[in-house]
Formats: sequence, structure tokens, C-alpha cells
Amino acid sequence: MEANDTVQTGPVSPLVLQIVAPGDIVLDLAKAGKVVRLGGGLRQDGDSVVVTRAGRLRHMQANNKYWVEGSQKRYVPNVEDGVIGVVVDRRFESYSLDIGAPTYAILPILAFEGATRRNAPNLQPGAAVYARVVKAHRDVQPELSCMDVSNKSSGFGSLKNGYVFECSTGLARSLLSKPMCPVLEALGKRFSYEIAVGLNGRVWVNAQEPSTIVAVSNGILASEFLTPAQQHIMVAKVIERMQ
Amino acid sequence: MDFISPEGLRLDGRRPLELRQLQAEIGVVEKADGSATFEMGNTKVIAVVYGPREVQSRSQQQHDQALVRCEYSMASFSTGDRRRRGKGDRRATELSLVIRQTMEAAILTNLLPRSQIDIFVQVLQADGGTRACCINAATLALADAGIPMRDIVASCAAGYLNSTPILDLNYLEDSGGGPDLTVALFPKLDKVSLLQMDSKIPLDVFEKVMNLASEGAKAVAQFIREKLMENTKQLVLAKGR
Amino acid sequence: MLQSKSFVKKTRHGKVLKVVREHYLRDDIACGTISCTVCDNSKACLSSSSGQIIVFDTNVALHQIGLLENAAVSNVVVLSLVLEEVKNKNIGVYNRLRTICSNPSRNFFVFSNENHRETYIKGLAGESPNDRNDRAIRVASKWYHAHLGPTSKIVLVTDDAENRRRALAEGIVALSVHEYVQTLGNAELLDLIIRTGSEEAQTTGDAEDLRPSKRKVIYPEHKLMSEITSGLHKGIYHQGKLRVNRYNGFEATVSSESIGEEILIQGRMDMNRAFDGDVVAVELLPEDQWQANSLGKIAEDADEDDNEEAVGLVPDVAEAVTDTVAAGRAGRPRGRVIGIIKRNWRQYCGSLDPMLNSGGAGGFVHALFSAADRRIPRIRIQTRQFANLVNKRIIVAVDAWDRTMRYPAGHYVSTIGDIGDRDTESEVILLENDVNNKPFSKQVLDCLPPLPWSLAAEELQNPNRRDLRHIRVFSVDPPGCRDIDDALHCTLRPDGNYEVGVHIADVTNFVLPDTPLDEEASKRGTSVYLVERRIDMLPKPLTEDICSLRADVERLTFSVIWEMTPEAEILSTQFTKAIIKSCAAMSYAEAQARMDDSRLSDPLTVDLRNMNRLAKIMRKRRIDRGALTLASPEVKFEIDSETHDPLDVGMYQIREANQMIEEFMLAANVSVAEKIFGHFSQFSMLRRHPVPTPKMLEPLLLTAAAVAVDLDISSSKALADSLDRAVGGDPYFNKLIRILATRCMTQALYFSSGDLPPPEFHHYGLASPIYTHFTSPIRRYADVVVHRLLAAALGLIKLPAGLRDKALLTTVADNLNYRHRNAQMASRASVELHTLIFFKNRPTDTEARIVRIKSNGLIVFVPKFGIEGPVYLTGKKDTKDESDWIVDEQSQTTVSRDGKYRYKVLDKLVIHIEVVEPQPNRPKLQLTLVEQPNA
Repeated sequence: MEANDTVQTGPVSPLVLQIVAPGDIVLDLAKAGKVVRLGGGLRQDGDSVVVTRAGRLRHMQANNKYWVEGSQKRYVPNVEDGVIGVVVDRRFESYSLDIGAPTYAILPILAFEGATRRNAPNLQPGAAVYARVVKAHRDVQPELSCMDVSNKSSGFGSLKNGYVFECSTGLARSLLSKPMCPVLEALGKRFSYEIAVGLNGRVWVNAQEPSTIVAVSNGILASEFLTPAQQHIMVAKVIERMQ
Repeated sequence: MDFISPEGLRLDGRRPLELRQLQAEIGVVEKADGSATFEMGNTKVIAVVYGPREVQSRSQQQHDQALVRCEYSMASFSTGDRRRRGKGDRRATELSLVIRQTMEAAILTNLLPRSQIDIFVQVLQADGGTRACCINAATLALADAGIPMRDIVASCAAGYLNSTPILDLNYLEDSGGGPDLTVALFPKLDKVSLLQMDSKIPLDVFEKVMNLASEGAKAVAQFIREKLMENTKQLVLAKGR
Repeated sequence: MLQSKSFVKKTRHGKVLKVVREHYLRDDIACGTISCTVCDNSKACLSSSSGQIIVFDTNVALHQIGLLENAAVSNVVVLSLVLEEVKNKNIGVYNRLRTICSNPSRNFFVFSNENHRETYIKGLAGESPNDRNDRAIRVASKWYHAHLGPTSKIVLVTDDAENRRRALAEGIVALSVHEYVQTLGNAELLDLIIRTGSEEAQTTGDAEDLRPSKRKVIYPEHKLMSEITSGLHKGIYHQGKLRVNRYNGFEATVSSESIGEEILIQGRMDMNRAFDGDVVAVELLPEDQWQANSLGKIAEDADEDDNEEAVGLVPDVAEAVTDTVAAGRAGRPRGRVIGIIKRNWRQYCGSLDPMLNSGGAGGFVHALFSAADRRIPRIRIQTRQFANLVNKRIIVAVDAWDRTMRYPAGHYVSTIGDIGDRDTESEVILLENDVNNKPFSKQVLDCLPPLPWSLAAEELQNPNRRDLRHIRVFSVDPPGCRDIDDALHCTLRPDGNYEVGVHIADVTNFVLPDTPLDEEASKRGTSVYLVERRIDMLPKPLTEDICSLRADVERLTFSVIWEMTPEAEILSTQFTKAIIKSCAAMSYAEAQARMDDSRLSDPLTVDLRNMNRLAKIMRKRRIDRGALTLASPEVKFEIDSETHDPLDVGMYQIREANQMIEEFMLAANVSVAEKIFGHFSQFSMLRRHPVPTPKMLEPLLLTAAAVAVDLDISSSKALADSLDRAVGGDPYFNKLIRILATRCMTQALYFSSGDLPPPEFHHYGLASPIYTHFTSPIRRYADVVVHRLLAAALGLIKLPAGLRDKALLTTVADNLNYRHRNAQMASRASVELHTLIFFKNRPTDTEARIVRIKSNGLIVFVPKFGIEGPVYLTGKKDTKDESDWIVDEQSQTTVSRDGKYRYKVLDKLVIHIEVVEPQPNRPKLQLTLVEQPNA
């Protein structure tokens, strides 16, 4: 991943928004001659930018950043991603969390709002935690935090009760998109439930009734390949079956 | 035995330079991170990929690159006579190694240090060219898992029977006693990553057969690419964006 | 390009194995008609305008292949389905059909209907495979009709009435073979049709009227194939190739691996319709019926009058161990044929037996055909042209042999020529031995360099070609030899050693691999020498001019050059391509005369004498090593240059000069064999001579014991020494023993070195661990192969692809062995033919030697003419008279009951030779006793 400081816009790759496959060359740096930022799924090989993952090529005009957006089951940590991890181990200063990434992530004991040496939440292995990625580099273990930049909890923390299920990273991303994802909107009209979506492809749902949890989970999983209109119909059917 | 009739047709009706029918399906195993089946005629292989994930045994962890493991096996129903085939026999071990090395060359292992990638390949139906078919299936499964790769790997076999180079041998032709050469290559980089043959042939014939196998592999690569794009497109478009 | 649709075909094997194979259907298969605008017609050969296009079914191909081979049948579509079925049922017919298809002048087009999208059909439920195939043929015919438009005329030829009916219902013109041939309007062709099925019933009905007694079942039934297989498994039956006795058509042997011994089959009933060469299943008879008396009669089965031992040339080597059975054994397994696993039917040359009521001209006549090969029974054929054929040599093919038929049924194929005409008889010899004497095709002749050929300047510049034109090279060959393929030189070096060179015509310089010329030569394998002519392996311009190392012309050679000490020790060996200019082409007699003439001392004569001296040393050394000096009674005819009739006949004289040349050729062959084997251990073409088994030598030992000669057969060296010691009362005795020994030897064989372990390479006769043929590339293809191998070993050429393929080389070697054997047989047959012509007008009395004793006569050998044949002591019809003679097997003597006459093996006697013709068209030599030697 190549990054330069100054942001300049140059000619944009003709493949933007196209589907690309590994080995495809999307940009010739010699011709582009400008500052280019590369995100996930791209690699610099000499003067050319080569795709390493199948997906859709995206480009952000603002900072001239390219990345490949695909839908994988396996999560690759990125800074500022909200993820749901499961505690695997507790050490002296930190917890080890499985966030579905190639390696376990670290959650320091003090990375909770208002936590001190004496007063820190005690998490047991198996507990689900909604956290934010603060460090993501391939050479070190990813680091998580249950506080936002202003050291407030803002929703992060241990997830009590409820149900965690896995889905593809692509679905997770679409659940978090704005405007609000049609399936969540439609479900919200009928049920009241709590939801936390981790970009690592894990979703936590909680509600009063177990049946609601089941309905919401199924509705979300079923929505992956449906258009907004289909999602509404699907949700309607789920609701119908509930009654 | 005549493998090519004087009319220029092979036993199954192909011409010497033709591939068998290719078919592929991506994402066939729900649970896995990546999976695919690949068919070359009657040869059918399923490949399943798990990872990158935490290395299972610490001692094998590599701090600068991912650990790639591969296991090849043959279903007991894959050939005409049904028999149990272990995955520890000589042939399976050799094939596991070959597939692992070929795929390792394609994966950008340095991007995934301290992690492990498992590739499981199983032959569901064997009709010649299993080696090539396994590599093709593994490529698709890896791509499905979103593991960063230099390029697609595509593979194809070619042989030399009745003094004619022929592409993509089926079982009958494979057992015809001629050389059987398997090539795997990176089509975009135009680099060979695997070249296997275990018989003696003259150099000039070898070149012909090698070129033919490479051409075949490129055609297979084109097919794999199309399949992959189609699959990705489906996934992306289905989200209604 | 790949317009394919895939589906599966399921077949089941014995082991209940499901085989799934792909079958691709295509759109790009051409119809093969020249006028077609849709298809790719680069290979098209059918003309849709000039009349009908023929489609035929599998049975037509299987039964009427002879008809299809006739040039009158043309414009034919051969469906791939038909080819496939024919291939499964009869590979011989398949090959013949393929040959027709590949002949561009015949306009046979192979249409891959099974791979064409529109003509492929799936079998329907309840439809038998045969019905499905018949339907596929109809679909293909219909497709042609639709494809070529309504003006086209597609004719489906089939003998299946049901198929015809359905075809007509579907709007396809369908004819039976008979109807179709009638449309061709050629009466001769009708004879080519083989009658099958319903027509057969009708015609044998006619036969019944003529000979009612023959309708009854004559032969025992053949067992079912399944019974045979299970019987073979259990060891009740034995499988093997039936070999009919050359001298007695009613006696045959089957050498079965399962019993390890030869099983004797006697009489027509026990042979049960098997032909020579058929693979048969045999059941052993009870032991009390085993033959105790192994001597046998010369000819038995008195009820047949056409089979008796014939006078012929002496066999060169053991080819039929069958009639050289050892005595002293309790009995020999006897068996009878209970089934035929694989037929070995081919086409046979011969003539029709004359008949009294030959029927009207053009009428349908049943005739009996006698093959030239006596091992073949008579064949019944039907013909409309009996009057034309009765005094012709004709070719006949066998169709069937039912239990009710005394003789096999066959049909006429073609005419060779008049009986008795020498050209016709020679033609018969060639055909019987599968020798191709057709002129070379244009493609082959196109490969020749332009004539007149002369040494090109660039050859002189070639760094790999040594210029040896300044060296005194000469050649020694039989008189009148036109294809001189070897020449020699021998010069004294300043250091006292000799430089000896063997120069062989560089044939591979002109015969390049994978050219039509090379393929043709490879097929022919060898030149065939008949008494009056030669059938060349290579076209004449090559054999007699460009490659022939004649005197005073510059020629290209492949040379072996040794440096030898005066004691004939080889110090170094060089192989090189060279240019020579021979200074003399001598005959053996001339060379011998020069050496013997003490007045001459010119350089050439000195060279000859030096060589001769070296050769003698080498020969002595070779014999000391254990090489056998064998003898074969070669005969030489003096031929009238005008009429080509033999004027005189005599044994071939062997001079020192012959032995000298032979010695150097052997040395060259051995040197080359070592060289090529050193480079190409897996695919060198070598020649081996297997050690004879003790069983093969048994008859020799028996004879030797009878005349009190002690032979040691433990090794070739021991045998050679004991042969040397075997000196009898007269000078010819030793030679006779050697001739008998030669006869017990096996054939030398070509083989590929990758096929056998090195100890098997041994050449028994020459006592050499490795041997090959290098010195006669003009007349032997093996030498051409060896030349290429040697050139590749020297790095002069790249080894052609054909020689790098082990399997291919093995097939080449097998073909060469087959051709070589046939060429020898043809030569012998030709000599026999000329012997017959020679004695026709010259009844002669001459001396003969007894070589074997039989219960009713003697087998004698006539040294002067190299012929061997029976002399009957008893009246030959009267088998009861056997008791007049008492035979002692152990001492190989026969004594007349009154004690007046006594004959012992190797005895001398005088016989009378004359030509008799007991049956028309089958003249033969008859030997009779003239003078009785003293008891």
C-alpha cells in the first residue's frame, strides 16, 4: 500500500467501478505521474498497479485513493473499522480477541471508558466485544479499543446477552451503509431490537423475545443478494410467518 | 493404438488442439472462506480454502510470510473401480506438494505474515489431467477467499501421441504411454510456475508440446477469469448498488 | 471452433465397471463432396454430380471387402460407425478398408457420423445396439440426401432386408449387394460377392442336389467361446497356434504354453476345420491314443489322394520342428481341436481343379480350388466364369466353413495369369510370401535426386565427409552384380601396420527419414532375389547407379576404417562419411584368380593378398572363439539370357575370396554394433541369433549317433569342434553333417536393444556378443536404420523421431524379420520352381544321401541340386505293406523283411529324378530308387 502526502488529482483509471480480477493492471504509475494512494486489493509492481483480489475497483476522488471492494468471508483489519471480537485469552495487560482476521487482535485492559488498573471490566473467554480497530499493520497484531477518539465508549464495549452470527464482510458493510440498509429499516418498523454490526462479518442482535432475534438474524442473512424492493418483500414475509 | 483417426478426430471427438469442456462453480462450500469446483470434461475437482487464519501450531509460524498448506485427496468413488485411497500415499503427497508450491508462488504471502492458509483439494471424478484441474480449482477457491494473489494461476496438460501433440489428455489418452506434460502459468505476467513431465522426449517435440500446453493454460486462464468476474459481479451487483 | 456438446456413454466390462467417456459432437465435419459449398472441402473426394453416392453397412464391409477393394466401386461414403464396428470385429478387414480409404484414386470418404451433431443418434429404450447402428446409418444417408439437395443420389447398400425395408419407408434408396453389383454391369464382379444368410441357404440347396451325401454333418461342433475360456482356465483345454505340417496337410501341431509340449493333431476330423496359423483351443485325447511311433509315415490318410510328401528344397534352418520329432519317447500328446479362437484366413493363390461337367458358359458352377500352399485344404467356390478360370492361377478368399461342408467355402478374388507360365508362377510365389512387387509410386520416385547424378561440389566442401578418392578402393561381388554396396581398401602404413577400410554405399544420404521413399523401403524391408529377377527395396536409379559403388566413378560412402597390426589386431576404429572412387569391381572368381596368379604383383593384387592374409587370421580367431562353420546347400542356376529358362543347376561354389569379403563385413558389422550400442543403449537395431534348444538339436544328435559320430552341443565352441572332428568315409560326409546341423539352428533375428537384456544379444552362429547389419543398405532396410543410428552416434545428424521411439523401433524390427523370412521363402520357392522347370525335359539319375528314415520310405537329399524329397520303398498306396520293412529307430536303419536290402541314414544311393503330373496343374518332382546299394 503506497501512500504519499500531497493530494493531487490525475487521470483516473478507466477500470473504476469495473469488476477486476487478480493480475489485472489498473493503472500505469509512470503515466499517472501523480500522487496515488492504494487501498486493499491492490499492489504496486514496478510502475504498474496490479489487482490482487477479485472485486470492484473503487476510487475516491478526494485523496486519489484506489481500492478493490470485494466480498470476502475473511476479514482484513483496517483502522477505524468497528468489529465484533470474541475473547480467546486474557493476559496481564490485554485480552486476545478473535476478530476473524489472520491473527488474533489485542484489546488492552485499559482501553475502556474510565477504566483504571483497579477498575477494569472483567471479560471471560467467550465474551463478545464490540470494538474499534486502532492499529492495523501487517507486521504487528491488530490493536482494538472500546473507546472512540474522544475516549468515550460511544457504544463500544462488551456485548451482553443477544446472539452473534457470521456473515460475509460485504453484507456487513452494506448493513452499515447510509442511507440505512432497507432490511434493517423494514425490520425496525415491526420489531424493536438492538444490533451491532462488525465490519469483520459478525453481527450481534438482541431483543426482548428470542423469536425476534431469530427473525431479525434470518432476515439479515437472507437479504445479502436481494435488491431493496426484494428485501422489503422478504421482510414482509418473515413478519407474516411470525404471526 | 490409434488415438487420432485419419480424419483428425480423437477418441472422444475432439481435434488434437482442443480442450475439453470447462465448467466451474465458485463458493460451493458455505462454511469455508473460499471454495470452488472445477471441471475439465469428466475430471471434476473441488477445492476449499480456509484462511488466512491464526497458525495452528506455533512452531510453524513464520514471522515474515504466511504458511501455505495443501492437502490433496481422491474420493473413493472418483474412478471406475471403487477403492479407498489414503491421502498419505506417495502420489497424494507428491501432488499436495506440487499444488502447494504452485499456489504459494501465486499468493502474496508476505502480506499475510504469521498466518496460515489451508487448501484442501479433492478429486471427485478422475478422467485424466487431475493435476491441472486441481490447480485451476485451487486458484478459484483462493480468489473466492479473497487471498491476495500476484495473478491467476491456470494449468493445462498436453501430450504427444501418434506423433502429434495433443492438448488436455483424458484418461484413455493419458494411459496411452506417451509423455504427459503439465504446465501452470501466470497468464498476465506470462511466467511459468509449474512444469512437470516424467518421460523422455526429444527436445524439439518437447518444445511443441510445451507450447501447446501453455496455449491451453492461457485459454483456461481466460475461462477462469471470466468465471471469477461473473461471480464477483453477481456478488457486488446483488447488493443493489 | 469448439462447438461441442457433452454427454456420457456407459459401457460395462467384465468386472462390472462403469466407464464414462465424453463424446463431443461437432459442427465442423465436412461432407466430403467436391461441389459442396457449405463444408470445408479441402479433403473432399466425392462427386455428387457424377452419379450415386454409396453408403454401406458394417456387414457389407465385413463380408464383401473384396468387392469394395475392386476399383469399380467408387464414390463411397464410409461411416465412422461402420469403421468402428469393423475394427472391433475384424482388424484385418479394418486395415484393408482403411487402405482403400487412404487411396485418393478410389474416392472413398470417411464421414465421422458419430461425431457430427446432426447425424449422431442416441439409442432408444428397448432398441438393440444393432438396430441403433442400422438407424444411425439410415440417419446419415438421409442427412447426405438433405445436405446435398434433392438432385443427389444416395444409395444405401445393405444385405439386411429389414434395414432395406425401413430405409425405403424413410425415403432412402436401398439396395442389396447383389442388386448394387448388377447396376455396375460387370459380370466378373458378381463372382466377388460372398453369399451369406438367406442366399447361402438357397445355393447350398443346389449343392445338395448334386451331392446329397454331403449334407450330413461332417465335423464335430466347435465349443462355445465361453466354454472354451472357462476350459482354458481350468486347464482342460489348451490354447495355441496351429501349425500344419508342410509335407502332410493332415497332420498339425499346436504348441501350447500350458502343457509345454507340442500337441499333435492328426486327421481332418481332429483338426476340425482349423487352418494353418489359426489360434485354436485343443482338448487332449486319452493317453492310450497318443502316438507311440514318432517316426510317422511320409504321407498318410489314404482316402485323400492329393496329399503326399513333396520334393522340395532343403530347409535352411529349423522352421518346422514339427516334423523333426525325436524318437525314443513313450508317446506324444495327441489332441483334437474343439474351437477356433482366432482365424488366420487370408487370400490364397492356387488353381481350380478341372471338372468333367463344367456347365455352360456363364452358368453358375461350383468348383474346387487347390491352393499352392499345401497346408491349405481345398476351397469350394462358385463362379460364372469357370471356363475362363480353369487354367489360370487365381486368388481366392475363404468365407466360411460350416459343420456340413466338407471343404471351406470361398469366393474368387482375382486372376494372376496362365498356369505354367513362369511369370505367373513367380507372381504366385511373391503373392504367397506377401512380397510387394508393384512399381514404385510417383511420390516415391519424386524423392530421388535428379538424374544423371554426379558428385556435387558442396559435398567436397562438407567437413564431415572425408575425401578418399586417392585411395585404392576396390569391390568384390558375385558375377553380374549391379547393386554393389560394399568396397574395400587395404594399404600398408609406414609403421608396418595396415589401414583397412570397408566402404558402404551412403544410402541414407539419399533416403531421408519420413519421406515416401523411406516409408516404402521400410515396408518392403529387403530386396527379394528370385532366380530370374530381383525385387528391389529401393528404386533402380539408386540401387544400380547412384548408390552402386561401381568402378571409376565418384561415390558417397559411409566407411569403417581400422588400423590393424599384421596379426590382424584392431588398434583403432574410425567411422566416417567419405567419397571414394573405386578402381576395380571384380567378381569373386576374378579376385581369386588374381590372388592365385603368382606372376602378378601389381598393387591391387598385393592389396588383395594382404587382405586375404588378414582375413584368414581373423577367421581363425573367430572359429577359435566358437563360431560355427555351417553349410547350406545353395544352388546356382545358369539362366538362358533369352528365354530365362534354367540351363544348368549346381551347388554354389565358395572361394577364399568370398570368405575374405565376408570376414571384413562381419568385422565392420561388429564394430558398428558396438559403436551404436554404446551411444543408444535403448534403441539400437541389432541382430541376434538365439542358442538352439537341446530339443531342436535332437534330430541331429539322433542321426549323428546312428552313424557313430559324437557331437557335443554344450556350447557353440564345443559343437564347432565336434563338427570339425566328424569326418566320415567320404569328403562330403562332413558337409552333410554340417547341413543337418544348420537345419537345427534358429533364425537370426533383428531386434531393438531396449527390448532385451544384453546377454540375450549373443549371436550364436558367429559367437559374437553383439552384432548388427551395416554393410548392405541398398538391399536391407535394417542397414539403413543402422546407418542413421551410426550417423547420429557420430553427431552428423539428429536421430530421426522414428528411431527414438522404442515401440516403433520394435515394430520396425518385427516387420524386418517378417520380410526377411518371406524373402527367403520366396527365394527358395523360386529355386524350387526353376528346379521343376529344369527337370521337366531332363529326367536325371544322380547320387543322393539318406537323411531320414520313415516307416514306408526314405527322405533323401540330392547334393548336386540341393533338393530333398521322399523315396518310397513300399507301394505307396498300399499301406499294409509296411511290414515288408523293419525300421530300427535307434540306429536309423531300415531293413527289408527278406534281409536283402538295408538302408542306413547318411548312406549313399542313386536315384532317378523326373517331373510327373499326377494331378493336372500340379507338376512335381518324383524321386525313385535306381540302384540298390549293398546291404
